[in-house]
Amino acid sequence: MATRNSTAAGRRNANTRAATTTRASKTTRAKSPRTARRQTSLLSDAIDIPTPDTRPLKCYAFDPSHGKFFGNEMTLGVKYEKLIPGPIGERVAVIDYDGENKRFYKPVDLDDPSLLISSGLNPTESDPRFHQQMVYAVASETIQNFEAALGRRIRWRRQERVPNKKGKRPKGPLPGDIYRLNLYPHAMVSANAAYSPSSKGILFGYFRASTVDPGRNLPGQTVFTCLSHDIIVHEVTHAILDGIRTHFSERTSPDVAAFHEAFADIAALFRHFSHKEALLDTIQKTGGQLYQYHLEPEALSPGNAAFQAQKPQDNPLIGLAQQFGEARGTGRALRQALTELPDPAKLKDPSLEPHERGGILVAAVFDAYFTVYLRMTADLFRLFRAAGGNVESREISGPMANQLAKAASKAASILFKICARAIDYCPPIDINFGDYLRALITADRDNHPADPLGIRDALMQAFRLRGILPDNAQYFSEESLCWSPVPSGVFDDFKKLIFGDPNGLTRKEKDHNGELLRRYAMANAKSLGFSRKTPISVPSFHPAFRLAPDGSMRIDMVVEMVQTADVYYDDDKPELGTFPMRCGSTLLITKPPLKSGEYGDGQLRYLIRKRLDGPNGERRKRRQRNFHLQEGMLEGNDPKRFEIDFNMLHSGF
Amino acid sequence: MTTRNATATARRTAKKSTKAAGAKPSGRPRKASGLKVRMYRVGFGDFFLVTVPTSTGDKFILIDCGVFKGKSGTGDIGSIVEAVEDMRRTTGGKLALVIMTHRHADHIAGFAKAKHIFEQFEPTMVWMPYWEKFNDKAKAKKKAAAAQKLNLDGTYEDENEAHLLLLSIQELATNLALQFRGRDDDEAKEALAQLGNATGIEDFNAVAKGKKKGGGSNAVALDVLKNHLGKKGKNVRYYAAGDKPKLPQELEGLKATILGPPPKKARAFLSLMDLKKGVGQYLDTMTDTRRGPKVIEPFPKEWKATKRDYRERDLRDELIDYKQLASDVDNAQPDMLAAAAAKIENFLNNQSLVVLFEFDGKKLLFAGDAQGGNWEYWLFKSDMPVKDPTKAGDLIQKSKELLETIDFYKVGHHGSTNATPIQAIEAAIARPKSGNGFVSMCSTEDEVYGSRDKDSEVPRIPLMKVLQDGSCLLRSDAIQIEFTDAATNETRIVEARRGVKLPKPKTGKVRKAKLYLEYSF
Repeated sequence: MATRNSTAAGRRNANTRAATTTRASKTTRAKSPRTARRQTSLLSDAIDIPTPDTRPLKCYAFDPSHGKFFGNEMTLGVKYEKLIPGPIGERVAVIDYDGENKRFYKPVDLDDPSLLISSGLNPTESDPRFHQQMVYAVASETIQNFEAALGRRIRWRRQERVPNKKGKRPKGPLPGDIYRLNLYPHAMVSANAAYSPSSKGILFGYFRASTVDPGRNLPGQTVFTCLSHDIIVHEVTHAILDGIRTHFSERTSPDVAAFHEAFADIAALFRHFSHKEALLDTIQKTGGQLYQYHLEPEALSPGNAAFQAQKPQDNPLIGLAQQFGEARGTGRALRQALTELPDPAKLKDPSLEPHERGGILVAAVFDAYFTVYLRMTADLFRLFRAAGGNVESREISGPMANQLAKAASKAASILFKICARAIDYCPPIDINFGDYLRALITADRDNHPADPLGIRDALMQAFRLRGILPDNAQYFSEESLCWSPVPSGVFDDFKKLIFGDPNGLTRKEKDHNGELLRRYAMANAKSLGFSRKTPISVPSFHPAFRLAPDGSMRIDMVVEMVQTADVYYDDDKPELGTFPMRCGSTLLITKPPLKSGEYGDGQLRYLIRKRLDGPNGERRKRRQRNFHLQEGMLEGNDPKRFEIDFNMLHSGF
Repeated sequence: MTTRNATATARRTAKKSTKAAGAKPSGRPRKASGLKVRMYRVGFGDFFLVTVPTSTGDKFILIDCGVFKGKSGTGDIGSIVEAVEDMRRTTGGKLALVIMTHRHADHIAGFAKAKHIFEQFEPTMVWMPYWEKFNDKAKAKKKAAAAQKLNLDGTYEDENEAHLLLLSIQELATNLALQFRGRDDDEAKEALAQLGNATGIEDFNAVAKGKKKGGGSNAVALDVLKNHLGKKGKNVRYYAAGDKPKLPQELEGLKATILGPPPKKARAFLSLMDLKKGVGQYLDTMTDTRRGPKVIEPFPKEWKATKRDYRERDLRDELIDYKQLASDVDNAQPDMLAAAAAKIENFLNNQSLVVLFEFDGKKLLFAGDAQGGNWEYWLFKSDMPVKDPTKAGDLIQKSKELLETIDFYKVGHHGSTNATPIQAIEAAIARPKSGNGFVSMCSTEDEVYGSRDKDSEVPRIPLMKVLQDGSCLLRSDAIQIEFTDAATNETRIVEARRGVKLPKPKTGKVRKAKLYLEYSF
């Protein structure tokens, strides 16, 4: 970013310089060879090669086990930035350090001319430099997608600013801040990959395929998790979510870890629908019924399948990380979730493991997705039948398949956007599936008041079928599920709050806003749902710039405010100790349009609270206490014991 | 007999005449006052003897007999063999029932250490947790793809598949432990202790060097339990929650209910298989060399980077600290192994057989080392959907009633809070103060596991305090014991732990002996 800006600035300087010299030459009319050369620079703007928008990079659409079928080799257009060997860029750095063999591998230099001209290295398992390229490409693309959906730049986790005894907060960068996410393609030996805030990055593992039941792999071959498109997207999504909502990694209920997993899976699954060739292939093999778990074999078989073409294959679009699915155990949970009948009782089973629990949420979102897809394509299918097409036969024409693929991909992009934007409408702490449903509905209603495709209804019904119900909604209707907007006049306006521009806020502006928001929080503690006794922290505030359906730009600021209190496990028995509990509010502050030539002050539009007091607070306390009890988190006093350890979580620990 | 006991008996007989009218008539009225629970002080381990008075004299139930040195290495105080000998003298070599709660060294090591004495016993019956069932068909041939044969209700088409799963826990734990060689950090010590407890192997280095072979003392103990005491499995019964247990006939008047482990369920098997896969894959990737385990190399040596390959400064012209980056990765590594060890530990603890005995109106709860997953089942019935989701995790009424009326509780897992949910204790304590309260027994040894600065010491101080305040807590380390050291033949005295008091129960009597504490109801 910085380099791009500075070169642009350099270009601008050159232009002004050129302009002054021409003026000078007009007056003197002297033609020295030097000025002649300068004159040619007049044209420099036109002949300068523009900085490319994207950098094409090859990677696997799924993973190496899919071979070259289904368009498994694809080229991603990654936002262009200058890179040094690693590749190390602005937001992510690929560091190929092998923690098991204690060595660094040779880094790829993507700015090498021969790689620039050939869209990077060709996909292969045997060259670590391709691994680095793929991890960089997929991670960067994932970040881009989230930035497009959220309307702002993604920022990684920041260490919590805990005030000292005098109530002063540490200033400047802290050691726990992640300024650039490190991606370690071969960090460990493990059938696992994990986002690790303490390593400030993502550790990808490699392992030997089973010698007994290797699936599609060679028995005993080395399998790399960093070559799985799904796994990279999944892990980067963990990191992104952790950056937006740091407290979502604190296990306060069974939903928290499950939500992190589910959200990462949702992001990875929706990516599949942008892989054009794979999508077309699947549409052809399922006759447009994308949701089928098995694909029709390419050749008919009278009895047992003798040739590979006669074997039915799994639908690659709705499975995740198939090469590793079995090894990680996560594939099974997800497959089960997407294929079994929705059962509202399942969610109430407190002994569900986070992936199983998360699978319920993923299934709900995908239920809505397929519903929307079918609504979008209903007319196409009607035309198809009217023209004599047989829906049962699964033979559909190329143009029809193209139209279906377009619809599938569009629906996926819409749903993904809603899912991502909903994060801004979630409370900052103690997330549960019901909250997320409310956030989804609110986010979509806020951005697209008209809902011609019935997306919100599809989401609501899908969640209801799986027993995901919000805590306090009175009715299961759209109006009731939406967080209620704050009526104007109840809260003071945010005077002098700086919304900045889409490039972000300057350090000075950030300091100003942070101070202003903290003061506001203290002054309005009670009505915001806090206690006045302990300091209120503002872990994040993000301006978001989004296009409204009418084409106008809406400028919001999403603010998290959090307060921590030590709560007794049992009020009557203080000797049992305490556990930290948080209350928090998410504030959506909007920048009003110009009024009589003046900017108005920021107005509070939504206040999404999780309280510690009142009946809801009591219920939360009880729920969290019981959860800690069941998870055996009572032992010890390390505050980190409540944090999700993604490494463990992914290994089924 | 004291007058106090006499009145108590009178009251009980009166109660019985109304309550248990349908009970089988027997020779003479059974008296709960003859009912006793003895806790031997063996260090960090459980060794309990229950005396049941019957018309044909006292009958005995042995619940666990084990000890383990633990993380500190000081858990085994050396008294177990003499304690077993003492138990033989008391029982005359006759046991009606032997209960093995689960296969951890701190619960079964005594069967191996005092094998020669146990070989003189012929108990009528041996009870084990349901999971052990699968070990009996050891001759079954391995079949591939066990997972696919698992029915959704948790049963196997061929139960031998499950046995293969379980047996390899021993192997898995041993292999895992070998990966810790050369490490002596705190986490490694804790993990090694857990794995040692799971296998009964005290010195993994000896195993690695090939000095010792075989499966550790747990394998020997299990052999004694199943083949000798259990008459090659004939007299062994395997139970899970909900099963109706069969008691030996001579234990007349005694009733038993099995509360744990949770009934067989597909999920439990699957989580074990995931663990096996995770750890197994790690192990698969290691090759054993002379210098210890070594990992596979994914790329040939030519790919190793030199200093010149990486740039010193990034695009912002800031230094890149590659050493720090490498150490960030290295530091994220070892947790995996430790977590796998902890997982095996918890898995085994949660197999614990939880038994509730009832005798003449007295209720005795023996919970083994059951932790979260096991207690959850019978306290919260976690497989039952709750009508009100906010109530998930609250005690169910039946468990509450049960806990409020128990007269005796064997403190789980030597006093760690993970084994004794506070809710359970709260419910047990929540009874009228005027009543008789209950007696809890905790067999433990301080400073073997956990640490005070981490609030993880075992026994956990706050839990002990709550139990002290709410019940009559008898700790095994409250008494001084004296025994002959088997190795040196010298008399040894292990003093009582300082500050640990021996309270007086509201009813019944506590007796101190050379090697044990005994509570008579």
